[in-house]
Amino acid sequence: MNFQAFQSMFSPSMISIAAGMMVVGGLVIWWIVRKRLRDFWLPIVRILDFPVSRLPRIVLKKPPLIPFLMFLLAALAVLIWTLKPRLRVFSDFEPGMSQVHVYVDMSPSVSAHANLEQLGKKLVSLLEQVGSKSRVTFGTSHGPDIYEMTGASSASDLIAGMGFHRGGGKIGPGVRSQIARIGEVDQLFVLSDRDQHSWGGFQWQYLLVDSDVRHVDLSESQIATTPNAFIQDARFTSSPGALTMDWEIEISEGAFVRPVSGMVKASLAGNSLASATWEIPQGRRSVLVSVSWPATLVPRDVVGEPIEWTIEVEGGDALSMDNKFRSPVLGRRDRVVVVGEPTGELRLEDALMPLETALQVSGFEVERFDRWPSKQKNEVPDVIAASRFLAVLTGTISSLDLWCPAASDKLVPTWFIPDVSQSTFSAMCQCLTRFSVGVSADMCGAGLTREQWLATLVNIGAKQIGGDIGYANQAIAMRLKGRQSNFDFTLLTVPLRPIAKFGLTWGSFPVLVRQLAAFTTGQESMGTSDAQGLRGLWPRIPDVSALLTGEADGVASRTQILRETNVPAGESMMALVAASDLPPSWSSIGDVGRVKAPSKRDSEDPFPWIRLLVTLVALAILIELLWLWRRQKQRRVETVIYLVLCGAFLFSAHESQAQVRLQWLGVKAGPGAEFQTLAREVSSRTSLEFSPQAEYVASFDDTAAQFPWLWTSNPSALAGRDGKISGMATLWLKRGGILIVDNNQGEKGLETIFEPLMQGTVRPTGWMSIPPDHELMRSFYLLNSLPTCRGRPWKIFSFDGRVVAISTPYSLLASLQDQPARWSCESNVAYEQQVRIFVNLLMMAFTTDYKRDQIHLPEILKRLRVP
Amino acid sequence: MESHLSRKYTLAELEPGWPENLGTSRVKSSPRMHGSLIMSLRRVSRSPENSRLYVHGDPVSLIDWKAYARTDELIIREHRDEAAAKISIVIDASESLLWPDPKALDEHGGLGQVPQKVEIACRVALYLAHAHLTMGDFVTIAFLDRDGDVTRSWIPRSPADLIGMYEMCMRQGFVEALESLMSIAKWVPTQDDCVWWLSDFLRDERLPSIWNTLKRVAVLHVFSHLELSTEWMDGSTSYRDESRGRKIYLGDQLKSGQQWAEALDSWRSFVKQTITRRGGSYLAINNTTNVGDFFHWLTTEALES
Repeated sequence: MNFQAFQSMFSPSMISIAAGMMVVGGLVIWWIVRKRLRDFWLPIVRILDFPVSRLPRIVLKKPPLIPFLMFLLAALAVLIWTLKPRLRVFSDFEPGMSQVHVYVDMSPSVSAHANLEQLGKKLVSLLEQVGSKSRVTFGTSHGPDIYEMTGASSASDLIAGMGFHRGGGKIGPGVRSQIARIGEVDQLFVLSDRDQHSWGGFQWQYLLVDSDVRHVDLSESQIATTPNAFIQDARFTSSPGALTMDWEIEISEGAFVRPVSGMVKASLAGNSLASATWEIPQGRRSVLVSVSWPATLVPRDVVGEPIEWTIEVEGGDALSMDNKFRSPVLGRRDRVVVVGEPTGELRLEDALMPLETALQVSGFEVERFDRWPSKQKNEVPDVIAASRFLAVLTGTISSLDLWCPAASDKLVPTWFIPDVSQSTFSAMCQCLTRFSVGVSADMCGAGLTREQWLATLVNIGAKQIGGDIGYANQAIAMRLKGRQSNFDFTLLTVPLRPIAKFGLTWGSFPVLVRQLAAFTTGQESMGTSDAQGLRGLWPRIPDVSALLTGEADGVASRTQILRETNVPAGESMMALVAASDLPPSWSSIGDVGRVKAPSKRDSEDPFPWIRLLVTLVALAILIELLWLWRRQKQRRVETVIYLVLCGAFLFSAHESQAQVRLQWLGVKAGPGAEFQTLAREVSSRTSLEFSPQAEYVASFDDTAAQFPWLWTSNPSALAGRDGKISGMATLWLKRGGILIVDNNQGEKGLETIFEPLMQGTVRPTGWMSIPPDHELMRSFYLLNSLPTCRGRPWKIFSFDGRVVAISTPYSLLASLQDQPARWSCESNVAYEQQVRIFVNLLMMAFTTDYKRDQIHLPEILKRLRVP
Repeated sequence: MESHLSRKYTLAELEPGWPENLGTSRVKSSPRMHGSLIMSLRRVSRSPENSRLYVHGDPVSLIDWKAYARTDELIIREHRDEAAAKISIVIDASESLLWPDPKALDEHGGLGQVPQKVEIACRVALYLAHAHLTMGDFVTIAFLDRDGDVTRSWIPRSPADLIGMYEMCMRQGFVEALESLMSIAKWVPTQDDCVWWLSDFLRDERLPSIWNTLKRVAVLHVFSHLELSTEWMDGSTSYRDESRGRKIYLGDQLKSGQQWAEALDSWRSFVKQTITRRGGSYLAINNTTNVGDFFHWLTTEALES
């Protein structure tokens, strides 16, 4: 017999039933025996007293009232106690109430079946139906946030405000992250369609161990016969520098129920670019459509806007969200600003001519300035901001201001290109002194050689570009980036033009430039991208719940990302999962009783029983009082005695001392700080129970002398008129009390106060720092160190080998209360560490150095896993 | 063969004026009947009824020496005389005395006719009353009601009254006939010289409190012969009593064990001890008790004291 069967056999219900059956059986046997016999009256029997077993007659007698009522009460209690509740009854804000969570799938595929209004209505009706008997929360696939309905309109407004996200939604990870935030969920409703992409990978069967999972199906049957066309991909096919922008659009259809045709349109920032017609014939899944427009139609000043592709489907489309597809603007020529004075009359003599040509060949549009453009001279600094990067020729211009940017300038990635002359590195070095990168003016002597310059750059942390790793002299350039990304310098170590000395030919030079540019912009497709972070890239996000980084990305807000991504193909395919593979479907029209099906925690929930017990006790007290009243009316002496005894019991009873309380000296009434969290931590970690409410005493008196420990931030409360510790307090400390001076500000005062304790001792220790092997460091947890505050350490005062006072450099309690005070010391200390310190302190205060006691040694070694 | 002479009569057949007298004549020299009370005389009676021949063992001081001188016979002059005594006869008429019920006996079966206990009590009472009246005593017959009080009583004036009553009893039933003649009267037994008490003592374990005021009590503990043995009991019958303990026993259990007789003996001896400690006389009777035995007790124990 397994344990469960054994347990069910000896459950209270079974025992009650067995007892009831035995009673009934006994009555039946009695009845048979009794009724089988003839009955003869024999009065003499009354004087006989036989030891033989008698067969008693069941006689109804009027029972005494009070005992009978008590018996009925007890019988009722036993009866109800042994029965299993059929219906759980909960009230608001009860810790044991059942938790129902509704997960609302707001992925694109759902929008094909219901609009936001319908979805909101469905959610509200569901919340209202299940909300009366339990605590109901809901969350959406937008993120891990959990909501609770406060009014009928609030939930639907919230849904409408959020809108469907364009990224894909995976129910599994979304539900997992939300349940992790709620804790335990008794019943989970998933408000979703039957989309394969959404349900994929969701092992809902595993949730059945702890909770009930129900699927509220939003799918509508006619959707299965409606085609859904969507843009699978948009590929840029033009070569760099071409006059037209050619795109190839792949349009697919998920359901392939019939031939689909329509029109595709491209637009940029509201301006139409081009359009084309398309048709997917029967039996094919996708079609390629070519779209092209003149390159001039794409203005350079429109930055960060995508090309928006829209398809229009003849005869309607199932899902409208995926009819819009956005792609980055490709093929547009990026601008590069080149700064440098011409070094010769002829074009070929110009040092920057090969660079300009190489950049143009790579697809950039090059703008040339003779010197650094500045606002004062009414030149165009914005042109720099609009450019991809900047190439500056150094050395040829004598004045630093004419080519070197200031630290306050708005900078794009910048190349500093040396001239063939040697002074060029010195000039570059001086330019760098404007930026706090660790370069000082005395490093930049007039004769700074390339090798010296390279060594300096390596020292300040520049990264090598080109050459073998570790051989900086092989480097073509060094890259130096600001910590706050305020600048990105590429410091070339060779003149950037074809020079045989450096192995650069006319042939290989454009390749080098192209690679350098790619390295600077971080992109492979050179000079033809307009992407700025995630926003401009318009990715396809298969699962938005993976995007849990929140608002702090700096790229775009999370909500914005969710609205601006492209719908993943999985959602557009509109493939459905068989209903048999999904959780049981729940319908508000159908049997609501299914929701009431008790979950597994019913039997563990003690609250109904506690309430019942309290009711029974109240009834018992009422009956007792009635009895007393009756007795009183009969002027019975016992009533008075009884009442006197009750009163004596009540008045002589005193509070249990089983709890450890925080006793605070020096204030009349506390600031109201509570230590609920700390109390829970202490109780869960140790066998001690810690009271969350502190006890306050204004001055050290007889009451305070009864306490095992005292906390204070004002140690002078212990002192007498002479500023030294009073006799009573001395006695208390010597007798075993411990004082914790929380947030001690001055050492001098403490030393004065504790002077009397030092007198007459053989080894006066005074206030001393806590040695690493002190019992405070190992009374419960093994602590490596105690946090200091502004250089002040923890201190202890020992008397007779026992710690009688501890002074903390910061307020330990302030950091442990339920709303911790702001941490004002140098390095932040985790809450966990503070709790550990407190537990150690608590243990030391109440058990002193018990670990030194040899009697505990076996247990300690066992705990330490020492054989 | 049993003849009317050899037959042993039982109390169920006792009637007032039963041929055998109380036998006082055995000890009395004269046939004079002035009552059953034997009183001490202040002076020696000169009446011849009170003299008799000396029997060996008589006190010498009682010898009438003058008469010896005169007649040369030792004549005893007795110092006692008889006087009319006040006698009460109390019959317990509580429920348990009405047992056995003839109907219940029929249902039980196999027992035949068994007189009710109260009938035995009444027969004995009538006989005693007749005897006392014959002897010249003043007799009161009283009924002890269900509460243990005596509220009704009847004072027969002559032996003929009792004979008439007996005939009435035979017609109407004993209790009914006796009750019909009883009148509500205050019964003051404290002046009585002797009280005959006929009861089964099942109503109350305690003895009646009125006994403390009585001069002399003679108790007849009335049983039915069915109560004294378990032979007649039936295995398919349960035997119960509905008073205090509400006990009920299976016939088999009662029949098989010896406890019945032991328990009954112990209870009877307890009652007897309690009564004799108070100076009373005790006799347990039932419907099968021999009349001769009853008379023997009367002459030896009850009247001796």
